[in-house]
Amino acid sequence: MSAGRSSEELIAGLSERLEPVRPLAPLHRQVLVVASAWILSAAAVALWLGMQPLGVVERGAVSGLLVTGLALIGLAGLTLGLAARIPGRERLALAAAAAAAAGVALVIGLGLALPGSVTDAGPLAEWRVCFERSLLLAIPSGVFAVVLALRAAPWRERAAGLGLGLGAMALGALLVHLSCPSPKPWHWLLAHALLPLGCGVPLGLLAAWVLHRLDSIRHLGV
Amino acid sequence: MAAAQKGDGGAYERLLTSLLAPLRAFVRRRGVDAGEVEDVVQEILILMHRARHTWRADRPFEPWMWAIARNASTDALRRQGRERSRRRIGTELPGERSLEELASPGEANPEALLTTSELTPALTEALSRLPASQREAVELLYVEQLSVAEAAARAGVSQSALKVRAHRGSRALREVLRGEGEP
Repeated sequence: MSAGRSSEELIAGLSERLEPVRPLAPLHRQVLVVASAWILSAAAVALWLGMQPLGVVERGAVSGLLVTGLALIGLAGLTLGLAARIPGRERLALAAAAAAAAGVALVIGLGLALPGSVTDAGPLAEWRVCFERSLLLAIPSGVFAVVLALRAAPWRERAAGLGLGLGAMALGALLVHLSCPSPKPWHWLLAHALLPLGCGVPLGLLAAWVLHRLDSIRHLGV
Repeated sequence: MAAAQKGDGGAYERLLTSLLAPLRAFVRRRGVDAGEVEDVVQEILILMHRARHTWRADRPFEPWMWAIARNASTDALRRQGRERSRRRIGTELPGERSLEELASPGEANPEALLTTSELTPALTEALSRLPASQREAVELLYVEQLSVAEAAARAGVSQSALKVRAHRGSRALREVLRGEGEP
């Protein structure tokens, strides 16, 4: 690059064509936007399927811990996805990654500690409905978060994508868990946590690819 | 930086110029090869330019700037390592490095290959194999170094269309140079 022009010439070129830019919204406001999308989804679920937030806790410790794990992964994953794209917010992104990892460890720990086996989860048709609903309910917060991440710095697509994918799927699964009447802990674990989170990884990689491609197009010639 | 975000080119030029010396020192300290220091400094400047809207006046400037400098120099060090191992196994293709960079935001600018030296015969041949619209976009942006707005006006298309054509052209160019067939 330097063989073509000096850094001083580059600076002159960048300054000459400088266009005003609107500063990115603060991170807490971005998180609030995504949270609002999630709350709207929750309202839709309450009207569509009915919510049983107290019932979830009454179902016992496994259910309560699953809610905690999913909420942790959801909030931390989305924070990681948004903070990773903002220069200077690395510590927050790292803390969010650690919190999301703790949430994943909690869910996996629940699976290891749960008595019985996966066959206790009930018929495939039941899991599929809950899994598909998780996927559907991940879309609003996931799309808002990807749009916000796209507005930020053109870097760290993979960390951002994975955080957003896991976070959005966890929040979708949380809504499903809050509305699902099933009494079976293996059903909760499989259809409300492991399958959605497992699906969050490829979705996160897809989000990373989208961010990478759109960043490349947006910054061509700059 | 606040003035630069409002479009004040003079303030922006003064700011970036004042950062050159500390950035060069930083990149040298990070262990980037002496011959690449200026390239990496320019990558940092370009990344700062692309991300300038992510700095907020209510947060300090320096952590923001150093985060970008760290990220760009880490990418450069990784690239150096990859290139060394490629050279060791003797598989480097002519022009491949810069074309790899086309697909990597935050790494070297795509202008590098097409603007820093004479076009090699292989590159000229590869360009000639692109569809006319993609070749025109690549040439206007990288060979003639027009801005996106100027290039779009010259090609008679919207800026978005021109960017998409140039992006596809860059990708196709890389495939041709790698010997993966027609674009």
